[in-house]
Amino acid sequence: MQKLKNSLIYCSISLAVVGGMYVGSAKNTEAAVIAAQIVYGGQSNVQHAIIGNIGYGFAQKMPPGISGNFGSYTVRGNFGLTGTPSNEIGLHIDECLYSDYTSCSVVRNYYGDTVHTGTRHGFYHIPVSSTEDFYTITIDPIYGDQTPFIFNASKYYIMIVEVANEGVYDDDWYVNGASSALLCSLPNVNTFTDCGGLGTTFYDLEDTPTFTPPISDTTTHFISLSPQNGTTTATTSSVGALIYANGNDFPNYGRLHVHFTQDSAFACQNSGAVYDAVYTCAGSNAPADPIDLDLSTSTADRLIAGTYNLAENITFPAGGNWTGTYEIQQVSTPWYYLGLFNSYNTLVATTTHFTIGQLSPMDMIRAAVASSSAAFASTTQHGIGAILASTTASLATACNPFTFSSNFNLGDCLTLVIWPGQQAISDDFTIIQNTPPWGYVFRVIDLLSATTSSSSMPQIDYTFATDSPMSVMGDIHFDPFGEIASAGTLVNEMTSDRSDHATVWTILMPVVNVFVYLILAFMIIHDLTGIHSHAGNSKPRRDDITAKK
Amino acid sequence: MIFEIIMYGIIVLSDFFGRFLPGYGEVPLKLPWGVDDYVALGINGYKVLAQSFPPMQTILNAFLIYIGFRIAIQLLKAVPILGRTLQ
Repeated sequence: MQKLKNSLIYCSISLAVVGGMYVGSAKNTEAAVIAAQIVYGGQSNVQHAIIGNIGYGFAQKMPPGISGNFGSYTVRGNFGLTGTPSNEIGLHIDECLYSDYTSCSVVRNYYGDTVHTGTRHGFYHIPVSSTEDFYTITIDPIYGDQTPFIFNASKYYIMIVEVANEGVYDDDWYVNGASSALLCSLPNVNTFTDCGGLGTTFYDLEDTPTFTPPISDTTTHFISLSPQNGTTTATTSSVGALIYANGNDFPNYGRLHVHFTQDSAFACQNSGAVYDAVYTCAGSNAPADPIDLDLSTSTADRLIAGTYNLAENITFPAGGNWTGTYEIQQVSTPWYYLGLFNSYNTLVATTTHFTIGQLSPMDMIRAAVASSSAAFASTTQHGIGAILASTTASLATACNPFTFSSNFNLGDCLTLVIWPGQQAISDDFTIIQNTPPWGYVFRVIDLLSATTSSSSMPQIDYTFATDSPMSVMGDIHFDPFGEIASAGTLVNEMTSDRSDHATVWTILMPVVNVFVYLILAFMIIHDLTGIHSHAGNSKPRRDDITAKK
Repeated sequence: MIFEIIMYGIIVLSDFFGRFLPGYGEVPLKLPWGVDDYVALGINGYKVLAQSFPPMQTILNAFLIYIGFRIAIQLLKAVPILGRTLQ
């Protein structure tokens, strides 16, 4: 008999080098926009309302949620730049239909008073020698024939502060065009400081307006992705993202965009069917071209923070599981308009996994098998999926020619010869589980798999008699096994002095486990190799001697 | 197809022999002659021990693994070629 000898297995330990992740700081571009705030009731919590130069003034996108009368606004800046007799500030309010601040129209103007002197109603007359300071402009509610403006909480507003030279235009606010006449007519948004040093604009909403900022996270981030993670979408799907862009993240020269890349490597690695995996990995499901969704190409909107919905319909080259990678990138270069020498700085990145349904032939076959609603199935004819999903179609019944009335179906029979009826097999297995003699085995397994115990170990309970002096101490209840077990207070109170404060069992159990399982391993090796008490004895065993004879 | 036919055969045989065994038709099926209760008590005792004394859980698990190993070895030995190789 051949003896098996123990051998030592030397395991080599490979060291894994853990690389550190370099965290680069975000590119510190000098922002051409500055945050503005709504001021009311001592609060200033609209941090995401951003102003930017739109060519003839400074615009601030106001989020929805503002209600109440508009009573006054405050502008902070230095407007005495040109030395002209005086400068004036006006305001007009645009109301927008959509959350991306498009389809806007002017709903109220607070400028254009032709009265050169006297009471100013809709605008503010700024002294020539003014320095940078706050200027509060109170809106006269009965100005002209206008009624007090009331914000609608569901609307999106753009408030535009305009600065003009009174000496040139004699109080007539010039809004559109003729930019040379306006102090803030600077198409280059990066030089807003030349515009008289207009600083932060404050809109003071009076009459106790209520306002709930809808967006608390003012960093550039993804709000939602399309396709959504874990969903199945059509072959031609809208790919994009709803993002919030902080104004400070817009590069001086360049743009902000969402870079979307996709690949089907996930499908290649995890496809359930071999033929589909081969089909996928063979290259038919090659990754589609990346998609760049520019935030905007217009000069004005580039610099205004807010919520942007960027999407594009694309047709995926193949079905299956896909991985999409979304990145919000700063694309900046002095050569931006030529598209040359772009540098890409990724601000935020995230990934999503989604399934594109039914495009490749294999995907169509798989879908037809998996679902009765596939193209192969119809209401009058069994599809493969319908057969598999059916509770009645089985090989034994579909192929039985003696049940012409309802069960016999030659198509089902031939199909089931190739494709096993999953539902029928599942039903059969349930019968086996509940029927002796095999049911006895499954019953034992059921009992073994019970996770809770219906009884407990003995405990000590003692109730003192009322005439006993100990009765004032109350009853005695002691659970010795509970104290020993991990849930016991006694064990939990005996903790380590080290920072982890490990309990007794936390410290001891690894040792106990190693000890017990070492014994188990030794016993198994003992049984396999036949090690006996005389192992190591150099004398030949009796059966060996017999064999030699 | 073959698998389904085998399943069908097992069901037919089980149905035939099962009718002569106690517990046929019971839902859920229980082990006969009170064995079900005894097994449940034994399992319960194991659970109580395991929950009351943490090392006991390891010991009982190791014991079950060993019993399973011995049963598996006996089954493998019953395979003609494999059993001879093991021996």
